[in-house]
Amino acid sequence: DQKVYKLKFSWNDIWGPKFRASQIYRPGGEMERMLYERSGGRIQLEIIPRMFPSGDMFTAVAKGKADMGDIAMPWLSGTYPIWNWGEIPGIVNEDPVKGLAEELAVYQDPEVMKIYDKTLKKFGLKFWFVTQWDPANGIWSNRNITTLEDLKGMKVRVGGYLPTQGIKELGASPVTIAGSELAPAMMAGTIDGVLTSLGYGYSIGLGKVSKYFTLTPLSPTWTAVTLMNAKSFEALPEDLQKVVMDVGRELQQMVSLSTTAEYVMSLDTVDLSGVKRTRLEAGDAEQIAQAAAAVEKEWLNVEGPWKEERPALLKAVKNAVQNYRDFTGK
Amino acid sequence: MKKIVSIIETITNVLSGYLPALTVFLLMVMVLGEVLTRYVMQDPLSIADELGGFMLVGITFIGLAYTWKERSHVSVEIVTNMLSPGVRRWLKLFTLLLATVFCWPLIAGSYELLQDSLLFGSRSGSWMRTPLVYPQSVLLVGSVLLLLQLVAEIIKSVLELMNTGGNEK
Amino acid sequence: MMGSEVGIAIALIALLFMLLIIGLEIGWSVGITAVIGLVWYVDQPLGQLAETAFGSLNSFTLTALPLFIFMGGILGNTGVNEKLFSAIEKWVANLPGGLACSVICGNAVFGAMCGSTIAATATFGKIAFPVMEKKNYSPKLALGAIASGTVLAPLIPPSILLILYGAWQGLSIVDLLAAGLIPGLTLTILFILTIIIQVKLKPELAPPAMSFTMREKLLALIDVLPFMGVILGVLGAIFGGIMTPTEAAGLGAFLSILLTLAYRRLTFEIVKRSLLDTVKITSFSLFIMAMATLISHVFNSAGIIPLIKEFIIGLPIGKYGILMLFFVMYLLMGMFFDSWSMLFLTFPFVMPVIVGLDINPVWWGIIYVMAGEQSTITPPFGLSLFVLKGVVPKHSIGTIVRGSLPFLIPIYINVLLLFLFPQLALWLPSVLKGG
Ligand code: NA
Ligand code: NA
Repeated sequence: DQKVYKLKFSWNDIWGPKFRASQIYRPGGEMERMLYERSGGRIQLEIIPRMFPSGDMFTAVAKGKADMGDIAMPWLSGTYPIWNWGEIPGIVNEDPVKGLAEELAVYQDPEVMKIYDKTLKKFGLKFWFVTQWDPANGIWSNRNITTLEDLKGMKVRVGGYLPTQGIKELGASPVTIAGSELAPAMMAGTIDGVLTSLGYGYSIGLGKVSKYFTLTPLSPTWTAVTLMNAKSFEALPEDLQKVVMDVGRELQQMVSLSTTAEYVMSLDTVDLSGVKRTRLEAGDAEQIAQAAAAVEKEWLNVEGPWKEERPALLKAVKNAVQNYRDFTGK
Repeated sequence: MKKIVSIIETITNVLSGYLPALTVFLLMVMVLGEVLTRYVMQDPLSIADELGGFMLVGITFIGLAYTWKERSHVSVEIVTNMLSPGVRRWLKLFTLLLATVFCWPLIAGSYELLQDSLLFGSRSGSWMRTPLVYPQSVLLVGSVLLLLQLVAEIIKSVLELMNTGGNEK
Repeated sequence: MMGSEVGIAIALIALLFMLLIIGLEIGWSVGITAVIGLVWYVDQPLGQLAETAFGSLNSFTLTALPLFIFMGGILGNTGVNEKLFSAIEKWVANLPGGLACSVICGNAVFGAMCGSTIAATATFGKIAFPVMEKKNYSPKLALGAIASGTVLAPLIPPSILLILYGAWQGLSIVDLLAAGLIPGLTLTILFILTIIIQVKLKPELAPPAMSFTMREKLLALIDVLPFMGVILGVLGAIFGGIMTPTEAAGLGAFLSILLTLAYRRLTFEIVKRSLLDTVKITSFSLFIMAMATLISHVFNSAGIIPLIKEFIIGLPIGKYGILMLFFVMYLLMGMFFDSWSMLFLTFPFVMPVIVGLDINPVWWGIIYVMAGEQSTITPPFGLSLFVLKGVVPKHSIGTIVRGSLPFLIPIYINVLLLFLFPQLALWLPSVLKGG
């Protein structure tokens, strides 16, 4: 069978070209090249930037309007809570370097993947690989937040359903304003803080209007998944299916490594810019754990697709993390 | 015939004119409420961001029919103005029919979107988690109202053609 | 393969062109073309039409549009412009062609209150022209100043045109509004210079300058102080970052209602009319925007936009040559379309080129305002020309056009200034972001 399979990949470049990991998607990038080479030219990717708005990408791929797409799961956390367990605090380590490694282990766990395959299949989708980003787990602000008392009443801009619940549990007031105006809003005091990641926050200029970046246990990972239309995948002969899945695993590894490296480098950039990195004191640990538990409960109980499957997934995820910790001895 | 036109235009005035006009006013009140709760009560409502967007979709789509009735949809007239009034009237009827045909993709597409949203259980990503079927239904309602108004426009246009015999002024 | 894509592109664009020419409303012309492309060439279901429409309109940033239109409607319907004009007249009447200069300044201030070109032309045609006529101004100069002054409204913040552009293309509205301020002021000065030079060259164009006492000037100032308060409040809230542009628009609308209430000019009828006008302008413009987004999606999915982009970027005329080309394109298109329609019709193709050439999209937005707004005073179709003809029916379009054409020169000089000193547009936004 020497038939050539042309697949449309819808790509939104959510994080922009500054991030190395987004480069795998660009036309002529690793994703397109590896598929082409490994399949002996039988898989040809047509990468179409901004084919659909980010919020529509999930249904677009599900319905086969594109064969594949990169989907920012946190943006869909209100719609499809099940695939966004990464925003439940306390599952993976809050230190991003450790957290990223643990999260990657989860996505390689067969039990977890079994549930992913089952739940995605209902929507006509097939899991391909995960793109890990710099986790959105810190508050940029002008206040030195060391205790939860400092956080009380602060107006913090949050994106996504679960982090909003989390920030409420910690005693702050969540604010929703457009992402493009965050730096001026901070400067004027419209908001007192922004919950987002170190790298992304710095890239949109929050470093210039904040004195502190406080690591908080909220939203410990920030992950996009790359999904395929199940029919498009199944239409491929078996050997090509294997090529696709193998390439996905390699890309997943590649992205994880470069995100980790970029995170470590961004620590230096932020330190040099004069922003002080702080964290909450240990004294509040119990209250923080309660908040995390409340978010987990919210995730389990919120109405939406696959409510009945969520406890099983949570258990499998926690097991996978534990296995990884046992294996690495940490 | 004239009765039908007048019934349709009343519907258009009320549902497609006054209702979205009221929505604009409510939008203003809501936005101010958001500011007030943020600065005065220090506890923002955080609803304007989401509801504002939905209201805007509503004003635009529900308002289509009224805007048509008031001849406020912009077109290029510089070429048609060079034609004789008779030809212009026929051309007007022709473009009206085209616009009416376009209601089919508008209505069918809106209906399809609603079905998808029900199937996927789509909700907004914010803390409100609004089931998207509700705000999306304004697309369908607006398209149906538009279709009604276009039917009235066609009737008016045909009556005019009959009265003038399609010729002199 | 590539050939068929080019064929599709040409067929669709030809269809669009034909529908526009026979007078089908722009939103429908774009919509029908997009749907044919969607179903036949891209092979996607009709649901995409509704999905794109919902997705592109469901934007809180964009809700600043109806709120600013409502604000302008309330102020425009309650005769504040008469106050404004007579106050400004006291201050600039001592310049050669003083009343014409007042019209320009009045437009600059009115432009800061509302973003609507049509409203500005109509009101100044109604209130300023009879005064100028009585004082023996040449109709050409008077009408030219009124028609051209409206170019200032979409530059000086707030600007509905820039809000449409920014919200559609996902740019910061605050940046765009801030970027327009200084070029708006330089254009105001250039317009005034244009009047002064014309009058110096041909003194018979205008009566001798008048002057007013300081007392009269101050009284006039007090008269317009509340309006200045509203303007500064709205712009301060935006640029100070206290409110998002949408919230500031809501505040502006509310303050306008209070103000006109205080002057006992507000009636239920005015509120109703302003709200209904807002619905009409919002509905017509955003429907075109939604359909333009769909056509952009169709052309993108069919791989046509990358082709066009590569073709244009590959032209051997350089970055500035391409920008010149766009400018000339808008001059030609401006004979048939207004600046909003041109934005919607061309930006699906133009923006990828701008991004590909690494041109700052905020700076480009300001350039576009002038590229697009020149169309309001160029024949045969010029929005300002037509509106003014409607208000002052006894003068021919020809007179208005001949009066307006000299004002194209300051527009081009202002564009040239922005090419030479991009900081004129980009400095203020960068300051607002903390340097
Ligand atoms: Na303005
Ligand atoms: Na023109």
